[in-house]
Amino acid sequence: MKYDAHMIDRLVPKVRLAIFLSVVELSRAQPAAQIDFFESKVRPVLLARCSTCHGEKVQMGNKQFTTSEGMHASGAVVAGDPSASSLVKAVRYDGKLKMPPAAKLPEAEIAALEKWVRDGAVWPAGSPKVASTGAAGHWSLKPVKQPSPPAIKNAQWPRTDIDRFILSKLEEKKLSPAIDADKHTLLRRLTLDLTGLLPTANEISQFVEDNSPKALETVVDRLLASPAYGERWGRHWLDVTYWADTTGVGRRIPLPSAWRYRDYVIRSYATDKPYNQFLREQIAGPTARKPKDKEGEPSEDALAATGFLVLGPWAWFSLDREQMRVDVVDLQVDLIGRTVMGLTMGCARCHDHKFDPITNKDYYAMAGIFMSTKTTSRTNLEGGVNLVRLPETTTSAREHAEALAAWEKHVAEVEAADKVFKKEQEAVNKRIKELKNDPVALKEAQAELALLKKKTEFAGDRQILPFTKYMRPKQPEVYAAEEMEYPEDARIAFRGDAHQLGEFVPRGLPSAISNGKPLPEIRKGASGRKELAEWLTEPTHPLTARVYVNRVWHHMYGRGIVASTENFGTRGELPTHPELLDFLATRFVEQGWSTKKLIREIALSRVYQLASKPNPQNDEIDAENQLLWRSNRRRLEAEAIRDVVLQASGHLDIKSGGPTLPLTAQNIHTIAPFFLEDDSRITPEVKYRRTVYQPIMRNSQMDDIDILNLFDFKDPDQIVGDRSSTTVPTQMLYLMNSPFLKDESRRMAESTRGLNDQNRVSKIILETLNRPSSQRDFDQARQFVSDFRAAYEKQASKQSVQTVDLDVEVWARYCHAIFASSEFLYRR
Amino acid sequence: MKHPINSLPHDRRGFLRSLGGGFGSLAFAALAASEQGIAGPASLDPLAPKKPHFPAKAKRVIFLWMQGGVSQSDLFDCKPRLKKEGGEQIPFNIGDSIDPSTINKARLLPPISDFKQIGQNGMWVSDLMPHLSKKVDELCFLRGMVSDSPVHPAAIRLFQTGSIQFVRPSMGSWITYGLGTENKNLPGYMVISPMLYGDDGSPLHYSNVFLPAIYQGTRIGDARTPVKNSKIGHMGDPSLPADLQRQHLDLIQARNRMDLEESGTDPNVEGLIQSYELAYRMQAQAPEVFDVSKESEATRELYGIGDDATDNFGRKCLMARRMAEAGVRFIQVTDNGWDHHTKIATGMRKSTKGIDKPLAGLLTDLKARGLLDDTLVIWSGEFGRTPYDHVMDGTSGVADAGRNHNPHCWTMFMAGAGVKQGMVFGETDEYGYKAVNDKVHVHDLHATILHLLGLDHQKLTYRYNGRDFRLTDVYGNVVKQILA
Repeated sequence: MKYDAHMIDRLVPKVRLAIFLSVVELSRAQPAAQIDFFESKVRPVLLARCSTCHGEKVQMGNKQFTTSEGMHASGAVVAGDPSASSLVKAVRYDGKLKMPPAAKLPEAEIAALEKWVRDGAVWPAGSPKVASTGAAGHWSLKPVKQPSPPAIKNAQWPRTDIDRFILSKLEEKKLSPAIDADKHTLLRRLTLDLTGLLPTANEISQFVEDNSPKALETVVDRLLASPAYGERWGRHWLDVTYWADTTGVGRRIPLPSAWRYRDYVIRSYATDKPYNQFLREQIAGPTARKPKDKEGEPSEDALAATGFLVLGPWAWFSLDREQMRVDVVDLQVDLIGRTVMGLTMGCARCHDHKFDPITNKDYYAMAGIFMSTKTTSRTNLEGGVNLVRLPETTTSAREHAEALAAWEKHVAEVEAADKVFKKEQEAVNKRIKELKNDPVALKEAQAELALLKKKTEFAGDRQILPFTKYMRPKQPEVYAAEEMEYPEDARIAFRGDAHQLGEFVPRGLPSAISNGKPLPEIRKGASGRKELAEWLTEPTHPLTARVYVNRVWHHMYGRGIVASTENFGTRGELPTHPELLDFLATRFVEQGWSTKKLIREIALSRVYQLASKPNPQNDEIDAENQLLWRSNRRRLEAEAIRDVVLQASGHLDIKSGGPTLPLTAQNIHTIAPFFLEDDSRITPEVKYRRTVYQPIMRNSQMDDIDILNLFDFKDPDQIVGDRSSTTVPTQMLYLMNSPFLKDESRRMAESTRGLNDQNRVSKIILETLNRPSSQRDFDQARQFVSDFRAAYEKQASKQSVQTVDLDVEVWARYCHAIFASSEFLYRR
Repeated sequence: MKHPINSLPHDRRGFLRSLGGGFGSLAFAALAASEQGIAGPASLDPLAPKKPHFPAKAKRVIFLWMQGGVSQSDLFDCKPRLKKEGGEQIPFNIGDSIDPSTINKARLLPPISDFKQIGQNGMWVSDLMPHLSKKVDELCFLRGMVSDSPVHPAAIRLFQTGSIQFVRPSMGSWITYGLGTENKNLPGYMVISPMLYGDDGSPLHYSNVFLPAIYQGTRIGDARTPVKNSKIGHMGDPSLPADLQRQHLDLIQARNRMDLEESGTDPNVEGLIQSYELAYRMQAQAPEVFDVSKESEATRELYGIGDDATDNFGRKCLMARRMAEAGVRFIQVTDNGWDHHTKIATGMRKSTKGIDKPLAGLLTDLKARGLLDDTLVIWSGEFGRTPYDHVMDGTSGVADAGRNHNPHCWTMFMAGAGVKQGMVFGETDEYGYKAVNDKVHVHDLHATILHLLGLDHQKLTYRYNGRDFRLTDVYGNVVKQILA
């Protein structure tokens, strides 16, 4: 629940309305106005100000003010007579008893209590009323329409239907669209947006020389077919999950199999798995309708997919297991709410949603589904995430047996060495004690001890023996959700407290979100994940497709049609182009929920291909470019910066998939539960792979990929469909001084060795900025190289600089400056 | 943390446009101007100093954060009955925090140290902090502090951000947002040696969360590393002499300006250009500010630098003073290790020894330099400790005894700009288990700190996700009694 900026819609717990468990009806015919007054003005005060000491848990002075019974029994209120009511006197601070003791209440609250007493102290029967009355009429809950593209004046301009929707709004506001971007800019933009990499020199010349009308389509199709596409768009999806390679809220407890969910997501994008199937797999897993593999056992995909639900920032060391369980369920409900439906379901954990049509009961109906889903195990093994063994094959069984035998042998060796060591250590230690008064001999003995430690592979306090045991080869496993043996409904938890439980709520789906059909019943003996997944992926569901196409749009334009990508509720932003959103959602479902087709359609629209240059006239009307009269210039994400620097320097390793956590003796701390040290280093074989494959921690990222910490990488514990893009000086210190940029710049400079200056500049500019060099580039480079070389030589002559290969040094600085400059770091 | 694309205020946009041409040159002109002491266009810089809501003495804060929870019973909250009845059964109700079967075995733990009546107000202070004791007449003690949680993570969040349940901007971010900073060459909010990981530490404790990112705390070091070995990452390039680096940066900036000229103005690229200059200057000034070796031997001695016991905290305090002097708005210094569940007699002595001399040194130094007139010093942990032994079954011997967490009361102090000197506000029961009079909840403290800086806690708001947020949410009363 931490880090959750979007949950702020939830009210402070103390003022939340709650369900009361023992309500006595005071009056048969309660006037509506008085009930409203009580619910809006009185109950919140009692809860916020009194309930800590006079509530469900604690009843100081034997008084409880949170139920009508308690209030009645307290004798603190005399209906109709404030002056005789000790409650009123106490809050007025009249007399000896002053309540609350910390500080007098604000006048308005005192007045409300007084009025309530004077009007007869009416306490409504039953639960608080649903506050959200108008929300069902909210745009995002109405059925998706099938709008036709609107009529426009400039019929020559559009290339696709998307363009007609955009142009219509531009014409309405008298905005003229920017000119088309040049081919180099467009290719760089497309390649970055679709793959997170830069076009190669070959790709550039092919596109620039291709004058056929299909030139762009050819490029888009090539990019969508590349593995890099799955890596980039898979990462976008990971941003709206809680996935990471570790768990725990404090220590980095490694999840050695978490990579399987990451790879599942990347694979799903690469193969263009229909989004409805993708969702069903992730929510329902093996209970979803889907092809089973030959043995009738669930496939790896079906199991790995539910990593969506089981991987998260769970507080494993919580002693309060019951509370932990409801907190995990809360994150799961919120994940479905925000990631899939764009609704902040979590608010309804404590009260009916104030703004959106989610009631307290709806929340617990859905919570029951996840209460009936096994996501955790009761052990502290692998952070307590539920582990499922992957179906065994003959090969995997043999490989495992071999690995196990080798490991056992290794353990035996280490154990033997350890024994020898301990014995020798004891002897030396004994000598050290005896030699206290002989400094020379003492020193020798200490040196001997140090040598001994080295010899037996002891590395500081990281003992090799427990580490070796920890590395026991395992049969392939995956973190996955399973059905509970006995599915159960959830009980309403007072203020989300697992120990204050109210009525049971039957498992079910949110009642106010309609896909035009009756809500499905949840089968007996099943969690209901299957029903939930199917309900969400009904073509007529008002939110699922809208929220998803908006996410895709966001990644292509830098801003969603609905800017609040996780909030389609009444507190979210309104769509800038509601008809276009519905048009895209409809098309998306019609075209088989295909992400690639959707991206293709957007990429081929004219509006995607516009230049980014500002225009003063348009700025007067729409400076924010909400109506998309030009392209948005955006800074590359942390991953893209790192990847394209490596790509330009020729260092990028494009190996895909597999485990990448650096589980080495140096990195693992062997105090149970084993965790990764904060100064862990990434292993050499992983270090130059794409960033999506780097190990991702729950707190800050490893020093080797410090760039993620500095450039707004997504916090794994948050759902972030819309990353921030900050500009702060610590980033510039990194760009100027980090070993990463210096090393890769040098590498790039070395790759241009032997070329003349002009060709060097051409090659560097082409491979970084993906355009031909201008005269200005050449002149500037020539000037810099000669000035810098002269200054360097002058310094060197003063001996303050180490002797280096000056040619490489100077050109490395030039490459470095290109890497550190806005044209490289931004996509236009 | 959101920076919407092109979210320039319209007036600023208009201002820029009225100048015509590319912006890069303008940014440079502004920076050059401020370098020469000429006021540049203030609206360009979110860190530029802002006027408070009303005039106030305090211009900046040094916040000394005693993470873990300091025992009030052994330092500032003298309870004769606790001493007298030490070792006896707990005579008061401690609610459901104890297993009923052991209640009869639990023992009151007497103070580990002797108290003396010190200062003109007659306050009793233990002999654990002899240096600080001499300052009692300059301090403003709050003895009735109250928190909402007895567990570290929640109580820390409440203290640092005003919220237990939700992720909210930190106090320092709010203050920097409210007041800007006085030195353009340094971040406005510096955090020295915070705890970063584990259940008790998180960068969220000094995060801007939804406030603009420029208001996030810039961290130096972490709690586990001696501050002597700590620095901001990538501060400088040892392989490149300064003038060569400037030449290198000139190429970067020339390319940035070229980009703006050729592809049009853009607030983010403008921000990039400014940030490069700030970063470049930080390299020159920040290490200087952070380097306590520049101080005289006498000053270093005053802070206890060089003595193993006090070196680390002494350096942190001296660094804080240098930052305050340099115009940093909010400086947080962490000292951790106050969580004395066991062996409090030795642990507490070690902890207090570690901070006593540096703390007194800091106050003396600030006063001597006139900085105490406009700097507010705050010293506190996240909660207090129990007057009874942490081990509830009566088995721990005197040497092993310790105290558990106690959110019902603790003692903190403030000093400097705007607070009464020699003040003791608030009272606990006769065992020091609960605050009984003049309680100050953490929300009230936040309201009071903002007030001391000239900020109205109800007016310092930020609109996000359709709601106006404040540090104090819907709570908070300024503690008027302690205002000078």
